[in-house]
Parts: sequence; structure tokens; C-alpha cells
Amino acid sequence: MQKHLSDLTLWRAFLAGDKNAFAEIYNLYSGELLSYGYRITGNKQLIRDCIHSLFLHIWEHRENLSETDSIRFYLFRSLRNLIQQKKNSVKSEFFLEDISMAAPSEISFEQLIIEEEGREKQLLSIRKAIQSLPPRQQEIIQLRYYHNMGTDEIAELMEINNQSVRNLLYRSISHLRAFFESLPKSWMASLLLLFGG
Amino acid sequence: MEKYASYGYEDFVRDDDFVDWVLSPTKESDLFWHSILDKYAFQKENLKMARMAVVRLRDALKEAGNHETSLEIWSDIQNSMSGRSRKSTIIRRNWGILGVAAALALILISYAQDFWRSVEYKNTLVESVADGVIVLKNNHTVALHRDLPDNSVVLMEPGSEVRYADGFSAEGRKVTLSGEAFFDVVPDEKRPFVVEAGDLRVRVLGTSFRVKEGNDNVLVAVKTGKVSVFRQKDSQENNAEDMAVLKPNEQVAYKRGGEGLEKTIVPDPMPVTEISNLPGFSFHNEAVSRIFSAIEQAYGIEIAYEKKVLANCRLTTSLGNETLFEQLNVICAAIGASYEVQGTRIIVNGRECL
Repeated sequence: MQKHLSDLTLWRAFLAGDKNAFAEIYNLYSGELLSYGYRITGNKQLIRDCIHSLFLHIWEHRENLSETDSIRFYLFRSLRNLIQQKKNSVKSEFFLEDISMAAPSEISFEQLIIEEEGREKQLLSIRKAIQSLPPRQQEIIQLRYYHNMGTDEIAELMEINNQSVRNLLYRSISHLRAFFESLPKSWMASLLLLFGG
Repeated sequence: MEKYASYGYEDFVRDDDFVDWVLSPTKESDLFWHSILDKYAFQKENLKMARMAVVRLRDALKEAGNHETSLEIWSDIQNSMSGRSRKSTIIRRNWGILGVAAALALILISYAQDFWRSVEYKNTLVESVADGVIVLKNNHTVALHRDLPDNSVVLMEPGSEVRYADGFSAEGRKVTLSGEAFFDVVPDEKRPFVVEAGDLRVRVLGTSFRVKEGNDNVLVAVKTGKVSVFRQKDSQENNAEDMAVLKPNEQVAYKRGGEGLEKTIVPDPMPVTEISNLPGFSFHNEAVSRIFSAIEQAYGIEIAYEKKVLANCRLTTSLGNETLFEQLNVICAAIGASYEVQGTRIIVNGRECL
């Protein structure tokens, strides 16, 4: 979970012009921002530029920034805004391999399950299934199950209400249900350890 | 709490507290969920399935190769912050009084530039697509990293331009370069990576190297791996005269209309093995031959000298952070010798030590 106290200290140091604090903030959050950004744009060049712009911008304008107790949320939100801005101002032909924008395809889930066995392949089929979800559902899945953001935080970030978040999650998990139910029993056995038999 | 009694496994998957426990467990949440299991033992299967589903989701959402990309972006950010291109100005020694003034002037000028230049990083690289060919051009004043369709990365110096077929092709990965760039290529045996720079073709499987294409000449320098460089005129790669195979720390400079391809050592050789893995770069009264041997191993570059002449030369030194040539300077100064680069070898000339 978030370490609020050290977040504030780190942020304050950065605001005061401490380059090490700035580097530390980058270290802590760039990986996540990359994963998130790539999920919602599917465009590597774009996300590079956005992260570059974002961090350069906050460094240059640190004197105008206010304090925050959640650096992560601030960065996620700023990145999201930046991506929307860029998307709106650049022509769509520049967006190559824009995976997340693809319309949900008519995948036969049963087919995917039957064709692919084994752990790696299972991961692959779940991955494909996620990529075939509509963009907002993909974003929500990413935020919930990779970045571990709660419903409230997701609602605030995506600027929708809690109920919408829950609905979207509901729909996406329903879509992916077939994949969870097909997982081999041998994995269940290894999880017995976690639950103490 | 009671709601958990009637949860299906999907409900657990959608439960904030449950997911939080699976993804970042704490002592408290651990205790909590084990107590739930105790209380509602009949939910065991559902809890197990839900846990597995969340873990699989997390694993499926993970993207590989983020760390390198993170580092590259950081490097680009640093470049932008200092407003300078990656290759910093080399200040030569022995400039004399006039030289000092010139050096000062240089520093003053770059300060002024930093001050007036807008540090705001405005737009992306100019990127255009026509007939399935992608053109990237770096109009900025700093070097920038870009991803290629196979996840290879190119670091483009200011003013450089690359072109390639969208998505590369099934047969190969071809990039046309004008200007200067550094390539970090992902291995792919089935698709050789070829850089076209002027008349030259640089062909690799997976490696990292720099190509500098100018008006009259082309320079290719290898950092890791191996590349073969050949001239386009002869479409046979097998023409020995016009082909060179480069190893790390080797480079080749080709002059348009020139004779052939001459291999030399790059100006800034990097160790090809982890220094810490080597026998020891700290020497106490060590025979110079051992020291040279250690350096050869570290850089993959041959050092030639007369063993008999230098047999008695011993040295106490530790060569940590210096560059190869600095290290050679130190050693040669200590034993009264000198060195020169001949092709891809280093020749050391010295006298007997007492």
C-alpha cells in the first residue's frame, strides 16, 4: 500500500529541487507508468514521449506544483491527461499497432482454451483475451489487477463514478471467466500450501 | 463479513480487499483472510480459484522489457534537462593560454544556449508513414531513443533519420539510416538485421553498435556482439576485400571512393566482460605482462610487446574507473614506455626496467 509519510517527504524534497529525490520518484514509478501507458495506448513511441514530457514538465515546473500525499496517483493522472491530449492533437495514422483501440473481436473463448494448454500458453490466451476487451475494460483490469488500485482510486483516475467502475469490472471478469475455470487442477494443489491444506 | 459466506469465486475476484490481499499481502490482511477461511470452510474452493484467477491476471498483464525502456527514457530526460547531446564536448589537453580562453568561451556559449533554449520538450519525433514505410526523424537537439517493430531500440542523434518497412518483413529487418544512431538489436536468427548507411551495409543477428553516416564517409563501431560490414556495390557478401567482420570495441571507417575497409579500435573501448569477474584489477608489484593480460581479457583487444624487454617491469596500481587508454597511459608512464594503436592491436614499446 502507499507509504503516505515518506511520499510527502520525497515529494517535498523534489519540489525543493533535490535531483536525487526526482530520480528516486522516477525509479519508483516509471515502470508502472510504462505498463499502464502501454496498456492504454498500445503505442510505444507515444508512451515514451509522454513519460519523457511528463517528468521533464514536472521538473521544470516544480515550483508551481502543490504538495501531494500520493505521488503515484498524481503521476498516473497526469500521464492519463497527457495521453488524452496527445491523442486528440495527433492524427490517427500515426498510431501504429494501436492494440487497445481494436474493436472487441469475436473470439471463441472455448476455442482458445482447447487449443492452448500448459502454463505459458494459458498466460498467452488470457493475455489475448484481455487484449480483445474494449479499451476501458482493459484499462480497468490493468489498474485493478496489476497496479492494485482500489475502486475509489480508479473512479477518481478515470473520472467516472464508483458504480461504473464496478460495472466495468463485473463485465470484464465475466468475459474472462472461461479462462479461470479452465485452469488445470495441478495449480490448485500448489495453492494448498498457501491455505495450509 | 457475512457477505463472504455467499460469495461465488467471481465475487472474490471482484472484491477490493481480497484482490489487495493477493497482490500485496500484509500481516493484517493475511490474518483476516485466514480467519475467513476458518469461519467459512466451505468457501475453500472458491477462495482458491479466486486467488489463482487474480494471480493469473496479474501475470498476464505484466509487460516484459520495461526496465531497459525505463532506463532509456531516463537517459533521454537527462539529455533534455542538460540541453546537450549525449556526446559531450571533449576538452583536449595542452591547449596553452589561447586554448584556455577558447575553452572558457565554449563553456560560456553553452551556458547561454541553455539559458535561451526552451527546455520544454514539445513534440514527438517527426514520424510519417507512406506506402507502409515509416520514417523517423530527430529534429531535436538531443539524442532520443525509439523502438523498432521487433523491440530493438535505436538511439537517434540529433538530425538523424531512419526508414523501415512497417512491422519489418518476414525475411529480414532492414533500416536505412542517414546521420548517426546507436542500435541495440534483439536476436532473431530468422531475420537478419541490416542497416543501410550510404554505400555500406551492416548486418547483424543481435548485438549493439553505432553507425555514423556522413557526406564522405561511414563509420561503424561495435559495442557488443558481432557485425559484418560490406559494400553495397558488390552484392555478394563474400567478397573478402570489401567486407569486414567487427567484434566489440572494433570499428571500421569507410571513405566514399576509397580503397576498402580498415579496422581500428573505437576511441572509447568498453570492457567486454564484467570487471569484477576478472582475476583482479588491483595489482601489487605485479609483472607488467600479467597486467596487460588482464586488460586484454577485459577489452578483447590484443596488446603486443616484447616480453623479454619488459620482463622485469613491475607495477603497483589499481585500474578501476579509467578508460582503456587512460589505463595504458598510467602503465606506460610508470615503466617509461609508450603505446600506439595499429589496426585492431595495441603496440607497446618500452625499455628494460631496473
